[in-house]
Amino acid sequence: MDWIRAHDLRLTAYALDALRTLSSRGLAVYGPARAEDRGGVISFNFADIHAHDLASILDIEGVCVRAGHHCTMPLMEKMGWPATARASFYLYNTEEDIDALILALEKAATVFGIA
Amino acid sequence: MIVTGDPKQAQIVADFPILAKPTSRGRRLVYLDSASSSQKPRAVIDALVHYYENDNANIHRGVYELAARATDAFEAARAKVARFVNAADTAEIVWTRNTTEAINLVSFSWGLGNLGPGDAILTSQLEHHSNLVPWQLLAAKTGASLRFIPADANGELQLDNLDQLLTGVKLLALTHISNTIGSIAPLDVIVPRAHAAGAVVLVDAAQSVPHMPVDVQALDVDFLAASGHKMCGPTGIGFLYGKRALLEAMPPFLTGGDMIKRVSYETTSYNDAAVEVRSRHQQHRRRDRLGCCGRLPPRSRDGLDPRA
Amino acid sequence: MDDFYKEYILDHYRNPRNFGHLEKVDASAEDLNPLCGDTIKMELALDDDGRVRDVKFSGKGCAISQASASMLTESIKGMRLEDVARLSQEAVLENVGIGISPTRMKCAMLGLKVLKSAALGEMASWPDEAR
Repeated sequence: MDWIRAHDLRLTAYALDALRTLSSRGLAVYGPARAEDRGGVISFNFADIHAHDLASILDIEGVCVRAGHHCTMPLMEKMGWPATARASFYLYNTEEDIDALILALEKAATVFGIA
Repeated sequence: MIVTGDPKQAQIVADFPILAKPTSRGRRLVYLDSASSSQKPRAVIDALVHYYENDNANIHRGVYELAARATDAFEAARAKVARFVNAADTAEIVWTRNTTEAINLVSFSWGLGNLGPGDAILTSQLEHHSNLVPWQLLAAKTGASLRFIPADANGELQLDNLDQLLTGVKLLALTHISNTIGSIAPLDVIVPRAHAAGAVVLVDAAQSVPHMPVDVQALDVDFLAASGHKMCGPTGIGFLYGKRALLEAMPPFLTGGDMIKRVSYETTSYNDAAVEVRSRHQQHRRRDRLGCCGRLPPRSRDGLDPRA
Repeated sequence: MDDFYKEYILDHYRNPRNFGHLEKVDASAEDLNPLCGDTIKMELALDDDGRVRDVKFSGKGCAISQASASMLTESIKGMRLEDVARLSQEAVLENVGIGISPTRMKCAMLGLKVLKSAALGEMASWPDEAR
């Protein structure tokens, strides 16, 4: 289990860095800034793309993420998020999966005309 | 398909058959939703098939060899889960359908008998509906009040007023890792203070048990709930850990199966408490529980054993 | 499916038609899609023959739900309320003009559901001979 935790941490740190490259285009990551303070879970929104639209576009690219309120409606309301997209990692995920996520997000930006 | 240069990682990926199946558009499947439900390794899938092909019978019933084998496998799975979270006693593991049912079990079986007007339940602003709605209902039924540990904009718990919040609290019900934003609750700080205030502590470990070593004795939690399907096990199996003294004092949550000692048309007496509390669930979903037998060994094989 | 989000869908999402509120509302309804939290409110103004004189919608949500509602408002002006109440899912899908996966169907149909609920609610208050 120590291996799984270390693996989740490595992927989470890699994903946080990769997602930050899209922050100038309107990608917002929620939650603790440091991977060490998180489980292998990253919620985010991308510009004015609704999380469900984002998840649909990612799905076309083969990338499965959850979108919605994640069964935490009071928290979503408190934070002022109508919905978020959420990527989460486990022992079988790799850096390649996160690279695929970033490519799919870039595709979504193209579809929605985000410069 | 080679997805990684690391041979160990490549072997783990290869253990999950679904990851080798392309999507309907011919893309590689990139599964980034394990917080919802994990994929299943070959060993778990094989264990389910093996059970039905070799060992299927009603557990805790038949006197024939086949039933004994099924019962042994069933109880061996319970022992593995107990070791996995370092429970002091196998009887402290209660099978449930999932985390949600485990939390509801505590709400109905422990909460209804232990809470009343003037008592308080403390939870947090981060909770999944599964660790919120049962307490809303319990508060409404018992006259207890419901309070929340606030979370900041990053989803981290604000503990400045924790001791004040804990005044009069009989139950603290807290998520270990937020399923929405991933923040981790500092249980090492919170649990001792909750106990000092006289509260029983329940942890929703749906997102932590699959992802990090969780030692119920080191954390000193009273109840802990998790789901099998988020940790490579089959859908339909989860567990509640409860300290034995608490479980022994709890009435059955669901009745009708082998928690029963003697039944007449008018009355029923129940088995010894720890057994009764957990065994009300034993009649169904046996197949799913036995999937756990297949779940834990491959981790040990890969050096992923929690105690390794 | 790769043309899932056509330009006119995004245009309706970013520049929704008939978005806002009416000063005088004859019929209205509101609902949400609990799965994704999309909300839509529809407000109708009717003329004396029970035809839709004006319509406004408000709410928030995904491109599919908002664009679908926006397109719907454009298509019902002048329509008899009875016909609004009888609008079919097929008509909405034809309007939207892109493939909608089963999981997104609720998003696409939210506007229709709310609109029909407003129409039926109003018709229930009419005297029998007017229905």
